[in-house]
Amino acid sequence: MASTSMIDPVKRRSDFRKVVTPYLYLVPAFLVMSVITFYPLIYQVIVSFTDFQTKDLLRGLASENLNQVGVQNYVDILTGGLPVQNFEFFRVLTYNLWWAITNVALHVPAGIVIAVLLNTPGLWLKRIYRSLYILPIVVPPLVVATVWRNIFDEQYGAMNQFLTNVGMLFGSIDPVRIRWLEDFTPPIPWLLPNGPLTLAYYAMMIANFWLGWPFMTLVATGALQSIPKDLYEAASIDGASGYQQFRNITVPLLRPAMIPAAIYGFTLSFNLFNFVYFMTGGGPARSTEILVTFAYDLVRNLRLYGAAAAFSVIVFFVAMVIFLITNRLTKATENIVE
Amino acid sequence: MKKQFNLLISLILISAFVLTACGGGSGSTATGEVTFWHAYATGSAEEAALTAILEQAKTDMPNVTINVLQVPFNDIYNKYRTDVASGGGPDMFIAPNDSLGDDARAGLLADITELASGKLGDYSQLSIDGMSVEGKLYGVPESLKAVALWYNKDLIDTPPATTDDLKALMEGGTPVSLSYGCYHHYGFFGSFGGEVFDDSWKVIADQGGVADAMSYLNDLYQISVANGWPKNDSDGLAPFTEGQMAIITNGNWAMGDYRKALGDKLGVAPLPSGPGGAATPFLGVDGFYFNPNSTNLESALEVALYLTGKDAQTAMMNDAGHVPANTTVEVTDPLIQSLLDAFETAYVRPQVPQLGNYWSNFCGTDQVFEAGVPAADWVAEATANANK
Amino acid sequence: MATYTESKQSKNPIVRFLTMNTSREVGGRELPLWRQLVLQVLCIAIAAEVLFPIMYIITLSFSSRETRPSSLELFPKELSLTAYKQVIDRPTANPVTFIELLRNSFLLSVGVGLSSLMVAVLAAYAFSRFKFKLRQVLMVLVFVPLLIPAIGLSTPLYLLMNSFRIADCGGAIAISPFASCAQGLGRVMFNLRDSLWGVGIAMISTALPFAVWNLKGYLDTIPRELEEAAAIDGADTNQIFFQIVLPLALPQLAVTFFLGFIGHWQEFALPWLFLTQPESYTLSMTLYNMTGQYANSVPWNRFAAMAVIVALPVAITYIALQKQIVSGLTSGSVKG
Repeated sequence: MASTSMIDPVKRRSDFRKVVTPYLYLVPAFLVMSVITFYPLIYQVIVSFTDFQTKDLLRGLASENLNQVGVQNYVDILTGGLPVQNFEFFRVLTYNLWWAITNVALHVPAGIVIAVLLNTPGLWLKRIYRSLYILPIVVPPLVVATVWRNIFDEQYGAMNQFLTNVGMLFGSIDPVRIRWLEDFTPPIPWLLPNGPLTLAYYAMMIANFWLGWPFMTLVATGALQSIPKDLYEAASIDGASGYQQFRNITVPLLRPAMIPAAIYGFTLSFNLFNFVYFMTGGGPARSTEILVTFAYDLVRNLRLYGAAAAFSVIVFFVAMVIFLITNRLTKATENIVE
Repeated sequence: MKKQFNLLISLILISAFVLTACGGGSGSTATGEVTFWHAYATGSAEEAALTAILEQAKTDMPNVTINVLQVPFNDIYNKYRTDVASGGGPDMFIAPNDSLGDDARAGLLADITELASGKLGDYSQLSIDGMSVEGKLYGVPESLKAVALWYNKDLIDTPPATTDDLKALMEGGTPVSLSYGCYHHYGFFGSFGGEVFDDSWKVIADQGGVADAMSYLNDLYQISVANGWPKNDSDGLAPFTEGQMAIITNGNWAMGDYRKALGDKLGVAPLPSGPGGAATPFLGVDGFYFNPNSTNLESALEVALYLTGKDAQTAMMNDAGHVPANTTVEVTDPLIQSLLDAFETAYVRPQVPQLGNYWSNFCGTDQVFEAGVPAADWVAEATANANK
Repeated sequence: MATYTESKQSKNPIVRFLTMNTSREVGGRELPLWRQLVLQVLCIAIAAEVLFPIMYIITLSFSSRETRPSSLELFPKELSLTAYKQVIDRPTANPVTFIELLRNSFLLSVGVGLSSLMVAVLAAYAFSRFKFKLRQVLMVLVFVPLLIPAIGLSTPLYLLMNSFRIADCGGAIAISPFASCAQGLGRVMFNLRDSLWGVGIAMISTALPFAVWNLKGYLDTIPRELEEAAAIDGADTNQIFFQIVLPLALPQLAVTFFLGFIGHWQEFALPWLFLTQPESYTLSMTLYNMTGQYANSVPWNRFAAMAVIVALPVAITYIALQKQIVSGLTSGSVKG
């Protein structure tokens, strides 16, 4: 009875330890992050309300003559008031989303098909093919972009030469000289009503396809190997055709692994800086510009630091919305599988 | 080779004595460390020549350590500005005077009028003007650059002298690599009698030849596209040096590469003149600019004077095709002499802020070439925008 | 009873040959020879598609000319090693040797990978195992920076690193931001921003959230029975963590480290923005250094040779560890 009023000090100490321990474990990470992540974040938010320029770099926020411009930067970005040619925020945003979605929509099915192909029992040289198919991931993105830009070059590009050879098979003599990365006229005029897609977009889709499906194949292979073979056995005894087996066994069981991979691929494509910047630099007149390449342009070339900070904040909110949506998608599919 | 090397050494020794006599100091007074940046492309003739000169500098200026950093051309201005603005940066950097005015006004370049007074007697007045903004000197000039017409003597005997000649040549099928772009176009404006600025730096491009020049250039552009010929100097380098193109228009910074490939077959002429007169390409001056944050400005100036001195410039002229700003350099190369003649009519690049109006409004040339906007309309709209 | 499969065999020897079962799996599905060949053709076509740009780069690296070839060359016409030699002798126009570049890349990648790993595993364990009041909030705080483009934070990080300088005021040493020399004096001896330390610290800002996210995902899949058993036996939290969980998680730690290493090995944007001393340059910066503005100033054979050299360690690591890396990536994202 007496113990209720006098709690054992040892127990109290161990209770205290239990409560504090998780926070102790988090201290190193948060210490580091508060200096190099949260402080710069807050700094950027403050800068986004000013007209920070090169001259302010020395003293930073303490610099004299630093104009506070309120939400002018945000307004400028959203309404096209920046002193930048060819930039319309909503066009770039829709293009960025379209770019990421079409890339994933192309890579995931291709990855699955190739993974199924590689998974055929008894296929010769399987291990060699598997090692080979990883290679696109391994090449540095800068090199990939430069090589593909070369391939789509108007004069020396491999693509035009290949098309010329194909044309010669059908009897045409003239060399093919498609100006992939410079041509303004969109091949499909109505696609993307608020900003037509130029030829450069298609060139980049082809190049990024080369880069993108190996990862999907990798993930799909891993998932395929965890599908028990008896399911296929039972299905074939029941008389199901190969295609039916694919549709009813493979696809549903791949889904829990492919959905996160698709989301990861979407995020990668959405933020694909290296590749886009070095292949087209934003494309003819910013028609292939994505949000991150424009952010880099703002910081490095145009040096409009205030606008760049505001732009980063806007991109952050866009990313947050996408994150929430994909999170809900993942949770939804997990529920379905269970 | 060895004889020339010995000659070079004796020349340098002699000039070292001469310099000390003139400077009144005790030999080279440069001490400490001097860091400078350059943007010469890796592996180009300019870069190779600079490296050789710096090797020589180790003997001539033993008390100073020269640190060199190469930065790609599209990044050197940004890198310099960001570093200097945040308190660092090199002691000096060498670059064309493209944005001298803006940088000087932004306080990113040191005013060396006092520091360099009396030391620049050997340099042409034109080049010193090119390094000055509103009467104050901001750099030590190194060489002059402008766009000219280069041709392969094997493929074409006489270069086109007029704009009509050039057009006829291209229509006749002679492969020509023209460099399009707002920088390169300026020369042709003069050929058609067009002026972009008036005396008070208001944009008057819609009055007179600029629209004609643009329309002429558009015709040439369509011919280039139809034949699949290169449309900028970088794409044209390989075909021209491999002998597939008869003509290329480019600045003389590429002369070293052209000469290395074509040797005696290389010829140069001014850009074609036209109904309005001679061509007026931008005349740019390359020079060394100094960092106001630098703690070793005097030594940096010494190094800059050495690198733009007679011997260094002779090497740059012979190996890299630079047209020296230093008037004491003996010009024996007929190509250089032709360039100097061509530069007579060139338009000295202004350092006023209004030049920005040209770059901001007249560089969207794809509107005319690709999107099909008529040249006159485009020029009128650009002028209106520039004068807002 | 007689087996059914015998009667399906045709009498024609050619057809028998083509429908021969090539699958070596016992009791599995059959893979007749003709289907095997069709699949092989498909696989070879895919391999050709994969290899085509790679062969292009490798061929370029073995060429002795610096300009782009005017025709498509996929197989090396000559096996000249000049490009490789030049790249190793004098990688850039700047006074830095190939070994120094290699060392810098290596130090940077390993340093950032290891330090972010050590900090991240503690935080991941806390998020995975403990229930505490601010868990959701703190998790969001840690994962949210993953959404920000790294370039967005580069300017404040630049200024932050730049404010830490050690200057020699002609006698005294001043360490800003605490003290600074009088105006006009002071030669900067060390600028955190202009050093690999500064770049490394800045790179951790993006490496850390990714490592925490990845590790937490994996830790979530480790069954808790071992830990519960140890707790019953009287071990406290620290002992459980260091002596039980860490050893178990070692493979995943290795995979996270490798993923980070590969990412940082190829990173050039941040070092490019920060560094001006050639002796602290990295290999990936050199690759970028070679591109410059114009295609003509790219020495293509050297660029290709450098690309092959930069890609090689990544290639070897990936191929050797592909199984672990894939499971590492997918387990992290599935549970994340």
